[in-house]
Amino acid sequence: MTPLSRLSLKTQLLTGSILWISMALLVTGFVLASLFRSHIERRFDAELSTHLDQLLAGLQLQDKGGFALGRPMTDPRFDRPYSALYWQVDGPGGSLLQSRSLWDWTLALPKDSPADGELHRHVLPGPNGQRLVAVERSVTFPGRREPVRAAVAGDLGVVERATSEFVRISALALGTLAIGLMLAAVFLVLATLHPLGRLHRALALVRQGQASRLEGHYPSEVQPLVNDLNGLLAHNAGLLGRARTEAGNLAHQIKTPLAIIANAARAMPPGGQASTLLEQIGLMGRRIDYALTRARAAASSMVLGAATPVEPSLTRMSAAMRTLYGPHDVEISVSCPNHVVVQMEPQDFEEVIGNLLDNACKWARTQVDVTVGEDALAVRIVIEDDGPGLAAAHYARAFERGLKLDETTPGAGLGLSIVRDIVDAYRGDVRLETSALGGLRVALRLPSTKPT
Amino acid sequence: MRLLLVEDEPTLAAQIRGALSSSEFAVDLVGDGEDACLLGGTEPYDGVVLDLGLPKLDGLAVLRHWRQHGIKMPVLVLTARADWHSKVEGLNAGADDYLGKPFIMEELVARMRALIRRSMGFTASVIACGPISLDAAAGRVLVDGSPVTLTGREFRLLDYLMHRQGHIVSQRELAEHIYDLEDERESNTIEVFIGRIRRKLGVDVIKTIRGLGYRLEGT
Repeated sequence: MTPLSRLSLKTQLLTGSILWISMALLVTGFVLASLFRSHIERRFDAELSTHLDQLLAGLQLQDKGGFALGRPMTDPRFDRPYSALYWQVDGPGGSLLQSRSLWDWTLALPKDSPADGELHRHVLPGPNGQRLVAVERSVTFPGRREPVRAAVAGDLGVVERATSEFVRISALALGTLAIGLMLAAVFLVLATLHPLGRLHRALALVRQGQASRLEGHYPSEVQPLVNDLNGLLAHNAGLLGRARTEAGNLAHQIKTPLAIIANAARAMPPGGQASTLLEQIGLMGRRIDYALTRARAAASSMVLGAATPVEPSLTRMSAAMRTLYGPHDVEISVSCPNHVVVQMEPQDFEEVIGNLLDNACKWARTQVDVTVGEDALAVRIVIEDDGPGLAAAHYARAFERGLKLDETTPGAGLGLSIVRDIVDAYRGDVRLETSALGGLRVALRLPSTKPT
Repeated sequence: MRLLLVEDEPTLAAQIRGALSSSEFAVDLVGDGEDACLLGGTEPYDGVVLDLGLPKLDGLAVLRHWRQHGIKMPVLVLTARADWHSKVEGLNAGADDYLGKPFIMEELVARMRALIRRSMGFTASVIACGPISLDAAAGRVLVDGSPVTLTGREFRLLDYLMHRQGHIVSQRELAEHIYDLEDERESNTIEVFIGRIRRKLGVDVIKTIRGLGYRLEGT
């Protein structure tokens, strides 16, 4: 499972705000509905007790010990059958007075005995499946021993219907509000993250070597980061440039005197120390090259913005090889798709390809093939020749420093080991195989500039 | 064969010049890029040894200038920078071969010879013309298999004629390719040398084309 912090900012912000908006509005809806319901219920109860007061006020004692309603109830609903508003008076000795609206129904008041004047509230079954709320008072008239129970009841359905109507309307309103808020949240998130998207694209251009700095203006929260990154890029490029110039100067300053010493040594009489001198001078020259190349590769391997377009570079390299090896001796064919770019400094890429092509041309009888392909992770380059090849047992040793398997052909003997060092510095891979052409096949995997 | 040597380090320049002269090359030495540019554009050199690290004008710039102005003589680049990026840059600027310092002098001489041979259309290291064969690396001339001893100047002259076999070569052209700028040139010396070479070879391969010059013919 992906930890929350690894999700994209966009996903985090959008999910978070949508969850919060939904929860806040749901809670608001519930609170509103319950407030409304209790308010309606209180109003309903208050109305019932007003009717009860009117009922009690209208009750009159009759001579025979019974009761009658002296004044009719004002609300016409008491006269319409099953109208949802009812009254009933239980007199002593089972005598019963009822509103006309009850018709053939009798309110089954629970058998409690409320104290005189106390208001009781009950929920009772009513006619037509209605659920009724009844308020009841017991009153003992002066001169009588037994109290009368007077009750007024109303249909609870009225409250339910009003509540559900309110819930429906407020759900509609809150739902509309939710959609509006969510749209606002999406817009805000996208607008806020837009500069980061631009930064991402600018960085991709730098990574592919199409720009040397991050272009454009950014919000004040992001701009310092961009400035620092640009400063770092410029600093890196400057360091690298100076290091290269210094390396070149150092090579020149050491190797020119070495050349002079070597020539002087060759002029010495044979049989003396001349051969030792020459051997050591040659070694020094090669070690200087090796150290400089290694140092440069180590310094530049992880630099942001290192990029070399493969096709033009290979074209230049093979043109140079044709000059070195003569146009007719070896046919170098390059098959490379356009727009393949390796994430390497041009100097390092050309050092790798130069050494491998040089080896291939040296050994090939007639043909050297260079094939370039690209997958999601890496650029694959295969260099093969139709020469005598190398025994598989020698593959591992071929990369060893200072070892030269081809003692008969002039060469530094450090070529393959420098190839391995540079490729390692760039976290690539180099492998020796046997070519279908008969000679050596070198398979390279080099980092691609495609965004990962 | 006459070469231009462009090298700013005096000791190294003297060493290379010495080695080339003893291999019977006529050598003009310049120490900076501007002189090289000028001399390479005006004198008919058969080849150039060019150091890249030069004062005034960088070696690569000199090379590009020559190539842009259609000057095609083979150029052997000499440099301390042995990395392939620099090599490729040099080769694509118009260099024909590349030698990193420190180098073996024999290799420099051999590569220079090979470049000149290639530029004149020869592939084998021994050039033959009829009964004569000339091995420049060994400094040896054979007529029907037996060696002939030539002086330095005579060898230079025959070497040039062998490379230009079948073509008419004027006295002026011969002088331009066997003398360097500091040599004394006398008007009739070429005729004298030709006469000596004919006598030593004993075969009539050098034809005199009246009013134009000489032509080496194998048959």
